[in-house]
Amino acid sequence: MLYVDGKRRATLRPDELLLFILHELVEMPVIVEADIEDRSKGDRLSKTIAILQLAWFVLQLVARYVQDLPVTLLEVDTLALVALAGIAYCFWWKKPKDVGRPYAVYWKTTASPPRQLAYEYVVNVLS
Amino acid sequence: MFFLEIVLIRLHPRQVDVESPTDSWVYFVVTCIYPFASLMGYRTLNSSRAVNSRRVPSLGGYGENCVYSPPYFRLLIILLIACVAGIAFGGIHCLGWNFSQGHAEQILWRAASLAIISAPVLILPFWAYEIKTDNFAPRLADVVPIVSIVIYSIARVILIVLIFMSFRSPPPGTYDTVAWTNPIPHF
Repeated sequence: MLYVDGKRRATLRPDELLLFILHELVEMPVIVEADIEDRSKGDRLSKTIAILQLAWFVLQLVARYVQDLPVTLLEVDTLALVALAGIAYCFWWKKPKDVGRPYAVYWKTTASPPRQLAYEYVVNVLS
Repeated sequence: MFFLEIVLIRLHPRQVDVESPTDSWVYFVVTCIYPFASLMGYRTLNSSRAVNSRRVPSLGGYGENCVYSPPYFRLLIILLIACVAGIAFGGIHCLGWNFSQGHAEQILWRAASLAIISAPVLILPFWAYEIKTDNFAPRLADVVPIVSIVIYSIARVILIVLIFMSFRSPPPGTYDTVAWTNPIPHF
């Protein structure tokens, strides 16, 4: 997040940040993994509880099948969604949740501020 | 979603200024399609409220010119994951292959499950082509994802409707719970 004159401008993209650092317009922020983890509101415990609930559903479904109880289409559909959730949990295991405080990057006051940043476009993809 | 993006590009001049974003109808359109377009992973869109948002889009949102990776590479990885997930999703729906609520419903369920599997499969050849040659296959690469997304969406809606239709006559024993103590020896 870029701050100009103490006021918030916009989130910086990696390429923008790199450009500003190369032109010495901002300081290189030092962000270690522990800083990011500290700002995340979800930890291993909360994720594990969610996964246990998914596992409990799958276990019940298998048990129903084994005991010849009817399995409904809704349960088949839910099983498919569980699979998608499993894939998402694999790839997003380290994704921080609900980061409320961005890392501030301050514009050096001597230079004139950037005209427009990518995140200031309403529809960035149309550019 | 990509179709909508193309329509938006055609209809609207280059960039929309951020000064009064809520005045623009594009703002509202993008607010509506942004979550879906992001999640589908074909393209990453910034939220129309990106300036005031404190978070980045779910799938990166850095577009094609991210400095840390070759062009398109990030998007292609996301696309591959999405395709594999879609195939798995359809495959699990095939577990309902023999649920019979009626002949027409059964055929529809099978067709929709197969359609969900085949939609991502349609994209995969283009994925391989782009990985190999490092550029977009023209024309066809624009059409196939649209076709694929339309097929997928229709099939998904059909599946959901069929699920709700199956509630008309649930099989007897649906509300019986699993007897967990049965496998344990007891008197």
